[in-house]
Amino acid sequence: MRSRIKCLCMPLALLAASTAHAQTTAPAADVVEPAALTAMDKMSAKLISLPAFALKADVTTEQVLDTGQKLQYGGTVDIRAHRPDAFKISAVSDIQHRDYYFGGGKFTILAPRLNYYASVPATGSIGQALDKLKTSYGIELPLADLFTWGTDQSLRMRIKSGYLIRPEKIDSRTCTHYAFRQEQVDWQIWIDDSDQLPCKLVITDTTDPSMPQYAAVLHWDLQAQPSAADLAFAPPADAHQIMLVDLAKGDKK
Amino acid sequence: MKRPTNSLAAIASLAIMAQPVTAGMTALSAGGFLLVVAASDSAEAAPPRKRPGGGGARPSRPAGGGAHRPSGGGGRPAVRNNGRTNVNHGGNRNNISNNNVNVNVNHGGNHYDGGHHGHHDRWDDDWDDHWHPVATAAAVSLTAAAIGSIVRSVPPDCSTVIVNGISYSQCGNTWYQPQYAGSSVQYVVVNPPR
Repeated sequence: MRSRIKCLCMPLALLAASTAHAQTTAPAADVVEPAALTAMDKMSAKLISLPAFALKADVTTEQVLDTGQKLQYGGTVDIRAHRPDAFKISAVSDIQHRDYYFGGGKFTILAPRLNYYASVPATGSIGQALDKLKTSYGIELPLADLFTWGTDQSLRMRIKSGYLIRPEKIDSRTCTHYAFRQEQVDWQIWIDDSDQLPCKLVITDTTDPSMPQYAAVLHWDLQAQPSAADLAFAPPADAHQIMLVDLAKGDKK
Repeated sequence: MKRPTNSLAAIASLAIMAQPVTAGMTALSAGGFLLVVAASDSAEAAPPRKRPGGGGARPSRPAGGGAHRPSGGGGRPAVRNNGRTNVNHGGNRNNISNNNVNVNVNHGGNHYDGGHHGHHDRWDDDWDDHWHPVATAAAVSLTAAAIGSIVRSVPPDCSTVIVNGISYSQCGNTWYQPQYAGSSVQYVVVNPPR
């Protein structure tokens, strides 16, 4: 299907450029509709306007095996955040459970089933902490985009294609569906028409021929206003503290 | 695919059972057979961290039912990619290379055959929390683990011991120091702390 569209569109790309904004069909490659970026801007502005928020996401992840076969797993991601510098993210599935805490100048990862936790110093904003976790510790938090949209101005430069698809129903919400492409990843987002918050996110890893997808349906709790104190880490009574390897310092062994 | 549970004998039957029900049988049964030999005759030939594809000490989880983590030995292919869970954060430039960094930096001299496997580290520990692979336990108990080597899991009967404020996992004469590498917990074989 995809290749057929491409075959039809590519030769016509020049001719069709002026009409490619028609929202019912995929536009020619590398067209970024202003309306799609505007929608992202509005959503980002909404996200950063929230001093504190809570949401629970129902997620599915896909593993790709060496054969190219995919396996899918379900799970949840609970995010509670207090801007500018505190969060608790709990990512739970049958095959892994991790709680991530940031606040009070440190970041902590806890594996409740294994009962091990590790803490490292982390200061600054949530965005700065996320960067440090990635570069120093190789930790990427699920749905971290919720924190970086609106704060990282380079993000929109990465978008190579983006367009509006149509309003759709997600649970009881009416959310407008957009599709974007950038290096290594295609992604789709559904934005709630009424409050501009994201309803759903689908991320496709295009670096792998099997193109594993991550899908998250977000359920916002706009009543919750977690404070930094609510999100502070307290070690479970029987938990043991261990080290978190600093990648920048080379092989730990 | 039904898997037998527990006991080394079950591994032997694993190879036999795998034959009639799995496609690509020739290679699979050969791998399974090697596994049996390794587990029963010369466990030291199967280092605890031998990775999928090698028919080594990390077969598919033997627990009954559920979806086993794919692995070598029993014929399950290894995981090459766990996808990504955000659009922008770290993904663009670093997703793939990060895995290589993880593998190389944290497991120098490991048995991986490529950079892709870094991703599935993060699944391992909790799987092992629930499903202890028989062959890993066998390899650990029968092998003198090299100091500095890293395993993804320890046998279920290890005990946590705290010495000078540091948590160790003691499994007979072998001592492990657990640590996070990324979001994964791994266990480094260390000299006995006392």
